[in-house]
Amino acid sequence: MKHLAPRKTFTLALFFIGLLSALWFLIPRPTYANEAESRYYITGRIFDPQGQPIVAAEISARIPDEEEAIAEAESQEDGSWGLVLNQVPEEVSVHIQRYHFVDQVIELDAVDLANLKDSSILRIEELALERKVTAGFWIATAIFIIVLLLIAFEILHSTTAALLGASAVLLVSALGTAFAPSIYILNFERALTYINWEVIFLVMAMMIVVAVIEETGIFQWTAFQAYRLSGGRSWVLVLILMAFTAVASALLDNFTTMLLMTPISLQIGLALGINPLALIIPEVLASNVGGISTLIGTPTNILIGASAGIGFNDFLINQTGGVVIALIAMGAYVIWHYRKEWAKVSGGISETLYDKLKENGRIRDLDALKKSGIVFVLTLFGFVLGERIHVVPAVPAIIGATVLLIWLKPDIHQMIKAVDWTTLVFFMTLFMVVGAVQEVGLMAVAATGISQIVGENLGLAVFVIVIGVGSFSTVIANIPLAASMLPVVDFLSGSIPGASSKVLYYALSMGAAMGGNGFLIGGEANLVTAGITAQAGSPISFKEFFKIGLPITYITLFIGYLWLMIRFGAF
Amino acid sequence: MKTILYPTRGGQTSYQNQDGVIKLAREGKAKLIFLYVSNVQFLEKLGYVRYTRVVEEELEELGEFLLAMACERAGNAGWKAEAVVRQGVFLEAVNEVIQEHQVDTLVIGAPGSTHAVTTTDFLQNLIHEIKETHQIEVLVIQDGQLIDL
Repeated sequence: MKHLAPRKTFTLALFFIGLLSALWFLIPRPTYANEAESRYYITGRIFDPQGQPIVAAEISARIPDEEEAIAEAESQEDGSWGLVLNQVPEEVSVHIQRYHFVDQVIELDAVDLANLKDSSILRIEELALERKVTAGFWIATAIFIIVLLLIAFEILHSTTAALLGASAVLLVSALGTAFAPSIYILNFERALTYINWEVIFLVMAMMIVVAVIEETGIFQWTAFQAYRLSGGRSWVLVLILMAFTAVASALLDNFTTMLLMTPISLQIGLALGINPLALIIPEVLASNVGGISTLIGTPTNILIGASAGIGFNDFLINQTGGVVIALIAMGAYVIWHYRKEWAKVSGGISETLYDKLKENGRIRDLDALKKSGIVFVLTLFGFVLGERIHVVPAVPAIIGATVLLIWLKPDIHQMIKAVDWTTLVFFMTLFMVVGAVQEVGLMAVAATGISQIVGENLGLAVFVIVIGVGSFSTVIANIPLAASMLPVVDFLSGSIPGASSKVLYYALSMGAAMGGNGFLIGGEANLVTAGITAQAGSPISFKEFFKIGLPITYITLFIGYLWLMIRFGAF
Repeated sequence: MKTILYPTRGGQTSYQNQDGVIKLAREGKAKLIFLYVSNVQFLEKLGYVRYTRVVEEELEELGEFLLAMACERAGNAGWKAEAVVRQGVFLEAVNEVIQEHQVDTLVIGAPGSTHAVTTTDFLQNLIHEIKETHQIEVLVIQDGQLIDL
């Protein structure tokens, strides 16, 4: 290979520097001089009756007898707006229009106009717009309730139900735009703004990370080690399995954890001569609670964290204590509830069965485990450190997933298949449906209702959210429940003294997750676990589950409530 | 030597029937095959098709373990048994194994008094179909005893 002489390299470098300098001078830059001199600004902010900023309102400046507005603007995320006028007319009024709100007209008087002329800027005081209950309000409410019922009664798959809801909202709005403005709810562009993309990307990235880890055999290996450590004492075994399931659920997700823990736990239970459900039901209960302590532990936490700006560290610091106490209480209850099972333990298992158990509880891919372990720990560091430099958790998660794909080189098609697109579409369309009822003001009505019950009593608000959401969550899927409750909690957090600590969001997180333990239909992990146990002739009946699940739900909800009250000094 | 096929889920509630079939095979000096058929269709119903491969692998190992336990029961009762694990639709798997192993007698567990996972109608249809297809003897066992359905 021929190398360039140093002199030629130097000349080439000088040439490029010269070229860049020339470009710098040649590229036209915006000029600001004199532009501002001839412009006048009218600014303001608008809020709804609950004090939440109103986005996308149309603001216009008009002069009498003129059809065309002399200036137009749209309100921003914080409710602020700004009109730019080229001259100050003798008479001018500001019109504020927004679907689902009463139109507002502000007539500027002579003093206002004089001020505008003098200082080039006029700030109008903050304005609260009155809500308008239109036909769109009732239609959006009906669609929202129908979607929840379709999901709750499993008439349609949750994703299909949410997709149907989003389509109905958009169809009605399209008809509203063309024929009957009163039925309008929101347009497609506005609906898209309700999708929380941080949630979508974080969930997607974590699905890839989990898909790699689930192949390694770490879950099965841990379950077998738990069996060995317990020395055949099944009450010790159940406590170890519960602890592991809770931690694994907090770091990965409870659904995958139960999917992989159930088959090996079935084998261990049968080998010990006890009802394997005495191990598996406590595991699933622990998995639903364990996930609460981290941002990535449950989909509802991801949702709450992204919406309320609660990071990985915040969840860890503010929830873990309550979760640990709840798990201890749960463990004690489990030991008591299954006391007859613990007495049944057989003398031991044969060498053949032990070897088979050991074989099924092996690490399947040590190399993948090491690499995915390193990347996973670094991703967790990314979550922790990211908060300090204002990087949202989705970023380290995406980086972690990408590094795993490059380092381990798994079949990319397999990995893309591992992403649960059904869930992601569910999230997106559910956001649209919840956005629709937010848009028409249903959530504001609900928030006002709860606000009237709890007044300014923060402790009562925490109680209502933890126990109320927890009770609903026993029968309603927790993701739509949490998504629906978020706007309500937003409002309450802004209106109740002391709630700015975000305690109500933590209450929502605890209620939504702990409530999933009430009934078999309360959580997806419960259902998949039941599906697997039925394959081994040990079906989980509805009655068997709620006999232990319901008391544990209310014990843990009460502990969660007390924990939040102590942690946030809400007494 | 006659061959008896007994499909089992392997849970605690099937132990009594397993013992009954082991006794039947031992008394008739027949070759005994335990069959476990897993089906992950429940994932489709729950909308979690993406987990199909992982769950299939796990259920295969689970099936092998459950049948190892069943074979051990046979060994303890003084008889030897073989284990076959299959995935998919139950009837198709049973048909395959009957043909592959030239089964003479199929024993099917009837719904027990409490933990029924199949219904009588389902069993009657199944028996009728298998008898027509393979012209083999089909017996029904409940709580460890052969019964007439």
